[in-house]
Amino acid sequence: MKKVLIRILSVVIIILALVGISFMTSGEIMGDVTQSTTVEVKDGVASPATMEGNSFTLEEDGEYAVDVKIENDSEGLITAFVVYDEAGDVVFFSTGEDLVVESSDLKLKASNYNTEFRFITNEEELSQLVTEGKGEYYSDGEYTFAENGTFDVDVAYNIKEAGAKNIYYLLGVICGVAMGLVLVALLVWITRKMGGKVDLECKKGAYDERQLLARGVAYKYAFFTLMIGMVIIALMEEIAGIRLFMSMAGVWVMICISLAVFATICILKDAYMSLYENVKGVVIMFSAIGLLNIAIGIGNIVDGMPLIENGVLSTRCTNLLVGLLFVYILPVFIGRVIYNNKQLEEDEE
Amino acid sequence: MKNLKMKSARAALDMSQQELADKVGVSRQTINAIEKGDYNPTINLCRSICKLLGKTLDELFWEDE
Repeated sequence: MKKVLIRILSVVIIILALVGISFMTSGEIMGDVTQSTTVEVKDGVASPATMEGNSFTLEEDGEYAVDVKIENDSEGLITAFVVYDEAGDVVFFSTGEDLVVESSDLKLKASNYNTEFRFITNEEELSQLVTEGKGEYYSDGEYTFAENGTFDVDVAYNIKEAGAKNIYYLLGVICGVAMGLVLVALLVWITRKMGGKVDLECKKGAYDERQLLARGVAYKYAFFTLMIGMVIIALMEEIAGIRLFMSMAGVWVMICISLAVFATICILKDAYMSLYENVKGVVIMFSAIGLLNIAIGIGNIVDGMPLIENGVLSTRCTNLLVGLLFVYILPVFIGRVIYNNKQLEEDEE
Repeated sequence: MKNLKMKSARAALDMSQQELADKVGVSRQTINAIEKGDYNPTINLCRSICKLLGKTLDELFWEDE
């Protein structure tokens, strides 16, 4: 009981520490600002034509990023989001009907900045905005503006240091990790109830001397696979300009490949399963984790979440990758168990 | 080289590979690998096996000329 309490307390402390770190590293200059308005369009003229956003001050020169999210309840109105500096020069803009945009890193000087939303109701206004450098053509210039109508526009935006993530994003990641831990604990409990033995704590003496040697060899090959893979990914970008794997998901691809190498060698050398585990436990855990991740991955695709964003693999494909890893490991493991049982029967005869 | 002496000593006690493995605290595959000659155990493991099978190190692990 005391052991369980210590574990729960450790997890809570880790989560609290991560929450603290995320607040410290969020790098937000201006937290999420949300604004809403109703725009009335009559004979192609919007009222109001603009909506003033928040001002913000940068204390020092540096690289910053702007997040913008615009939601429009019906088609026919384009919203332009513009950030001006003190001199009235445009430092950032984005134009769209419904959009979620994170700017690339902007080099901004220490100064005061203003934000503004402009509601575009006809081709001429859009053309003028583009000419002034405050907007861009939307949907290849092919767009049907509504002559009349009422539009509810919701906007959300924030300014942060380049590379820093939104506090909600970081909290979301922490909640995801915490949820994952709870899910694994639940799976272990179910597996044990079904008669399976699993050992996630890596108890002392979990592997015998032959297994430890074999696992050492497996770690070596997995380590070199990861290293070579990372070099290949970097070279692909440097030489061929292929950026597909230059993201966290790209790192996950290599982690999954090196884990597959580690698991394959361990399984083939009968060093995967510890002395505190049994085949039933491993098979139940692998099946559950694999299926769960594949289901989430397919769910993401069905929901229309892109697997590739801005030319790089999106973090959305992480679940699919982990699912595929387990789909690969499971048959290798079962195949080895069947082979071992056959061998044992022959040996005993 | 196969360790037939160990296999026969185990069989003489009517002990399966799994039973021996459980008693010395290793996996069945490790006992199998030792009997097949695929793995050379450490002296500690050799001693544990000898004690359990009631044999000396020489009797089980010393190669005959």
